[in-house]
Amino acid sequence: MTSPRRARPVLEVVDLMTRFHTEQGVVHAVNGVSFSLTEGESMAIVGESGSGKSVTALSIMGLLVRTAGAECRGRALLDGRDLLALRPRELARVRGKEIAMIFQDPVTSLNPVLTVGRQLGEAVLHHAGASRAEARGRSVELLDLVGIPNARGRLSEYPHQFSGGQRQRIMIAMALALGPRVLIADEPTTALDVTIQAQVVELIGSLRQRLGMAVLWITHDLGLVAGLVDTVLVMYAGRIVERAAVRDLFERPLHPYTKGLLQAVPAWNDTRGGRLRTIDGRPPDLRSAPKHCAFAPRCPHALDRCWAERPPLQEADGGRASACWRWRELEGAALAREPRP
Amino acid sequence: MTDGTAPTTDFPGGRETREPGSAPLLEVRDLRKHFPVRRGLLRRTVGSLRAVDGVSFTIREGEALGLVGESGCGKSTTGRAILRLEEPTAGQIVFDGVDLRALRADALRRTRRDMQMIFQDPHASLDPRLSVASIVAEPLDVQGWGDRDARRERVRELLELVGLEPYHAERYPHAFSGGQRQRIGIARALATSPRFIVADEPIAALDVSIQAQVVNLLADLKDRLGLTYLFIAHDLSIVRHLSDRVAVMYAGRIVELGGTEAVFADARHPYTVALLSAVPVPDPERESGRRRLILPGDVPDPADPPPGCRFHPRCPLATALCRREDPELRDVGSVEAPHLTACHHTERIGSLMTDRGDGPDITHGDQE
Repeated sequence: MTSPRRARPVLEVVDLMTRFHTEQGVVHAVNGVSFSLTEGESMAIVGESGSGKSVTALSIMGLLVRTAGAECRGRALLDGRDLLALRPRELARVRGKEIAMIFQDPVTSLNPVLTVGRQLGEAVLHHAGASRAEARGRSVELLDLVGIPNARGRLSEYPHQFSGGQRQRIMIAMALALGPRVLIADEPTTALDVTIQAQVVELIGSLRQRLGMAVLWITHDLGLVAGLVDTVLVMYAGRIVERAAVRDLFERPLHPYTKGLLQAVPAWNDTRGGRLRTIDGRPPDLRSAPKHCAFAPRCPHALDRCWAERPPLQEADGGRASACWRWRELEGAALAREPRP
Repeated sequence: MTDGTAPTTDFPGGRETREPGSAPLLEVRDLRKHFPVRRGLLRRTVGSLRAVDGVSFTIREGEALGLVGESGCGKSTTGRAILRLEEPTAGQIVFDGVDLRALRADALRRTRRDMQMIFQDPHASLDPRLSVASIVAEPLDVQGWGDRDARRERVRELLELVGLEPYHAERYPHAFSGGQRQRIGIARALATSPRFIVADEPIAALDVSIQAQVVNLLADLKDRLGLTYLFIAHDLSIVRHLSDRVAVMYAGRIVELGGTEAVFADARHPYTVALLSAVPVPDPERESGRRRLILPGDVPDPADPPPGCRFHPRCPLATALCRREDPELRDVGSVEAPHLTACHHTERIGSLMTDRGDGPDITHGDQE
């Protein structure tokens, strides 16, 4: 897994649309998301609750249930094979082996009545057809890999006997059991304390390098993203509103929402006092599918055009893209100090 | 109140804004809250979980003290014990000269109008069956304050104060977004014109774009009403933004306490250093050059804390002394700006830092 990698896409998502049919109406959760993740890349989807970031991940993994009212369209190509077109049995073979996911809450993702060894062993056995002894050996290796001390001795313990950080490590071990090429990490550290978060983030980062996996982080935490990824996708109301290399994004955001988010958190060296800049209003109701820019109601820079026509994701310099009609002005910083109306 | 110097007007008119004075409004001395650990069929008490284990601090009138630490460190229990929402096991809580633990129920209830709490989760802390007007007026009802018309007028005032509209009074919590619900919770806390507010993770459950609105509101209210805050949070950049002084808790104790800038720029306890280094900073430039002190292991079991310094099993500076002797808080600051740390080796704190020397950047610890 150490051969040099070219920028070959391992995961390509094309025009993903996910809706939920509910009693209260149709929820337009993801509205045409496209991106590609290259081999070994570290990328993040950043957004607030209701932005569609987690639904995007669950759609790719085929974890949304049609009978529960979920409807996915578009394509998610893993090495050219469309995950959304696979039959459940085929998908089950791909999941874990080629693409895996870890979740926010390790407490609810692990089965409390099975030993950790049994759960890890199942992950190995299920796909690889290994013998029990092999599965056990592999489980020990995996726990070692994620830094659980005394791995062999702890296989017979239950999830509640591990701390929160250790449970997240076990989840990571399970996700890595079959050496996937893509790992989707959905807020894996949100339930953890910062010192434990630092352990887990470092662990995933070092495993990415050792195993040559691509990692797609799903997070609301801009701070976390800053030190972690190459590329950032910012989502709002089910769409990607900005794509940029991480440094470019923080230096000069090309979408007013990104800019608002960056300004809403105090700078680290921000001494006490002063007011934080806020984004007025609240996130959109996804039951309506407006024709206009979804951010226009909260945007200090909105023009008539923004209310008339939704801006598509437009390519800018340096592989960047923005879904704002006024991105050139943002780029030139002409909008930097514009007061709110 | 027994102390005649406090120029409290009766609510609802609000009170005069006071200068941050030098007299402490709140004094907490050696506060302890232990929970019994029960085991077996007969639920016999086999030990105690020392959630808060000897915490002392003061807060001056008009001051905001930030209380930070990770989950299980005892920061929330401290906040609840001060308001006697949890009965403390031991210690003194002196509010405006009155020892709260000596008060009987009715006197305590009267005092509570001066001390209120803002909770973390605006979804869980508002009764979904009550209208906003009933929720906000609840503390007024408890205090038997005013008649119906006066209460309705007070609710209108409070909603305006927190940036909500008068017509919101008739609605129910489900009709509001997270940020608006937190505003309702704040309006309720302010109903009796309290002087002191314990804000327990008031923005942790909110989206980033909404957090800033609530942070600004809390800052405005402090200035306008002269409020005194105990601000409990794990988000260090928000604590830095809102607090005058900061106390850092670990395993039931305060391990560092000082002026906000002193603690953030010149941390004197290794745990604070690690905590600060672990916080991701929204700045790729800084992040790329940043090294972290990654602590091995987890926080200790509060039912069975390690001997000596409770931080020693995770501490890169620990020596035999730390394993043996529990360090006292000692002042390493100045007369005007005390800076307390509970570390035997605070002089060696510099050895944790990199050559860049700009705050929380430090050398890499060993991972377990």
